[in-house]
Amino acid sequence: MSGPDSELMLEFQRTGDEALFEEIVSKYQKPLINFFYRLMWDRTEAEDLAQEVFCRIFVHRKSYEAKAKFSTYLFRIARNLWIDHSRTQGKQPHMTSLSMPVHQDGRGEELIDTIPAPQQEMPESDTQVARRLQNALEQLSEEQRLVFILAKDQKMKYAEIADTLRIPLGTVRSRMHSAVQRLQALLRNALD
Amino acid sequence: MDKHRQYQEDIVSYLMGELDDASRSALERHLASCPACRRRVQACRRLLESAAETPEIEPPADFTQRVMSAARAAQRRHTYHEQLRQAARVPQPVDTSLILRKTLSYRLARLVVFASVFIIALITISSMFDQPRQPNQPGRHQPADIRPGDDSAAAPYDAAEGTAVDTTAVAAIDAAAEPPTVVDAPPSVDDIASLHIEVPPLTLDLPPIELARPGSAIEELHVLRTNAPNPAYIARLDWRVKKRAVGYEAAFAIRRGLWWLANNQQPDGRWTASDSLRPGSSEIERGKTLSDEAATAAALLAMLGDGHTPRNGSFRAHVARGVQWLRSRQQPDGSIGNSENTTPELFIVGQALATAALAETYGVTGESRYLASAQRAADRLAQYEPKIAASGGSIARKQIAPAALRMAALATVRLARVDNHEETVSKTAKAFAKAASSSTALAYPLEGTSAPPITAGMLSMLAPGSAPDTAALAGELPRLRQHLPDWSRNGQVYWLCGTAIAHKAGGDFWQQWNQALVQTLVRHQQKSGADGGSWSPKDRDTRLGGRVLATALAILALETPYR
Repeated sequence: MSGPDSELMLEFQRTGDEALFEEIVSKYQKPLINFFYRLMWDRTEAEDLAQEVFCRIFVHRKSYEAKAKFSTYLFRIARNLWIDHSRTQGKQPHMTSLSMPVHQDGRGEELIDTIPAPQQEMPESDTQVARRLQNALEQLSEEQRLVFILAKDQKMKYAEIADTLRIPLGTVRSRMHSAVQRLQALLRNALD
Repeated sequence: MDKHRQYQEDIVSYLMGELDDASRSALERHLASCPACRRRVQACRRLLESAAETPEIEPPADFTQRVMSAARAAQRRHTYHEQLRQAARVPQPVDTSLILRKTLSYRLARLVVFASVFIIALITISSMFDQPRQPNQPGRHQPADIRPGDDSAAAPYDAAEGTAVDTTAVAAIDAAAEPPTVVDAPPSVDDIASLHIEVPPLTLDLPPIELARPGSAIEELHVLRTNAPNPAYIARLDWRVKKRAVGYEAAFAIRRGLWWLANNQQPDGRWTASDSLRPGSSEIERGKTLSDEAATAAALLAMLGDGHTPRNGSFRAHVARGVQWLRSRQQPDGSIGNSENTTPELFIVGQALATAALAETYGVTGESRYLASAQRAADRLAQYEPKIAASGGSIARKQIAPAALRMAALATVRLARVDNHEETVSKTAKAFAKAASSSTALAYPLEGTSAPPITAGMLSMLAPGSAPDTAALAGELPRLRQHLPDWSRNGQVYWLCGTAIAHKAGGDFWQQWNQALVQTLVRHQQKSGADGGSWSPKDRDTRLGGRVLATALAILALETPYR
């Protein structure tokens, strides 16, 4: 049930050997960074949050119990952290008008023109459809997005997603269905 | 119809391989006979395939090391907080009573004031209704029942009516009031009318709000609340402490200065020195202008120094953007900005300021995201070795400021508990001490001002959290005493160093210095216009950083009591 990574974590919990934790970090850093990246499309933020997840696991290692797969435990922390983070970000006030002119004479580009669009961070090899998919993903609800990303990008089974998000299996199924329906509606032209 | 809809809802689960055998077989049978559902399967498959095409990003090469470093620091912080929590569970009568006393004495004093006003008002109103019953009453304020020869008036203050009552009430309110005058002979009406009773002003003997001392309960509460890894930062997070520490004028000047900085931040989060150079400073070579990284770091230090963090304070959005920009400028080797675009000395100045800004950001937030950046910046800074001449151990003139700032930045790193650069800090401090004792050539003249030269001893005192070196203080104080802050004679670098020393010296000298500093800066802060709230650079070194650096340094000097 718990898997080899849980064994590794339990061993780290028992011995405190940092090399074991480094092994965990090496294995999960890419999925975790990409998980946050898909949610925020900001590489630096994604790395920061992934680092914070590992820090929390390191510090609170004593509270780990091998009841489920290690990845379930890891992504549950990640999901909680992301929710906290997005709430905090939502509270940040906008201090400057986006239509404020950049130049003092009031001509030329406005501040809004200088803000990089989210897709600028995507690799150049990315396709047009993928860019549109990224924009469409942002229009999903938080719940739908989480289920879609965990299922599609992290290749988690529905049962594992239900365990990670602490929701019933039927809810995972219906959220995934709604997410795909909504994405289809948003991407109708691109996919045809 | 319902069955058809059920099949449609199963399509996504079918494509994801999440249907059990029975449901899958049923759906496949339905698909063979339903073209609409077949089209739907194809559309869903295309969508899921295109989602799989979205490329993944690769983690940075040193990500594991960064995580491990951050995790160790988080562990240290967690252990420290755990200790505090443990300590908080044990009753600490001294500190708890301190908090209680402060709270209670304030509330009690407020209660006494309100009660006094209420009683006086009540008695005054009641006395208006208890007017004398004698028809020939001369005036409202004269006791009507006191008549010459009347025995009942022998002790005018015994009477429970008229002004006598007022006096008794006041005397009851304030025990310190003069006791009533004993009158042997019955006073005349005129005597009483002219009787003037001195009521001493009611003074509230409130204990001063002290800067939280290490180990005090207030400090521990702050640390637990803010998550700061070191209690040294708590003073700046408490506005009551700040206001008490610097006074209204300085607090207002700081606020206006910070507003100017906030309004002059670039959209991408940086502050730039070159754009803000004054017309009079055109002789400064472009290439030697302070880098944007250094200007940004200085502005950030001024904001952080006032307790604004990426999450808290009025300027949190500016701090967040500025710190983000600084971090985006960090190279793989830890350098902030490009070292090739400037002189080695100016690069170290920028690196030192940026390291201090990142370390303080971590220090005030305790967030691990800032730790790795601060750590790498500090490691890069520690690699720089100031050249110390063999004869007499003196440091080359142009390297004094970079070396001193490097030491101050590493001390900030230590204070923020980023990592222990103790050895590097003490090594540089020793080199300074050696050079200062053996050579007077170490003095760092401030061109363009008549201020005394900045010495290594002065610069070394910029290091936050450093204990006052009494010998060094004794050496510097007489010269500082002769050159108090004066707009026409000295400039920002001198004010900042001098304020650090004066604050460490304390006592009368600190009062004298701070008064001169606040007067000078408040008087010469731009009052209005685009530059309203800022200061112009006064010495040559500050001119390198233009109005941004001048304003940041002035604010930092004013913030000294609580930084």
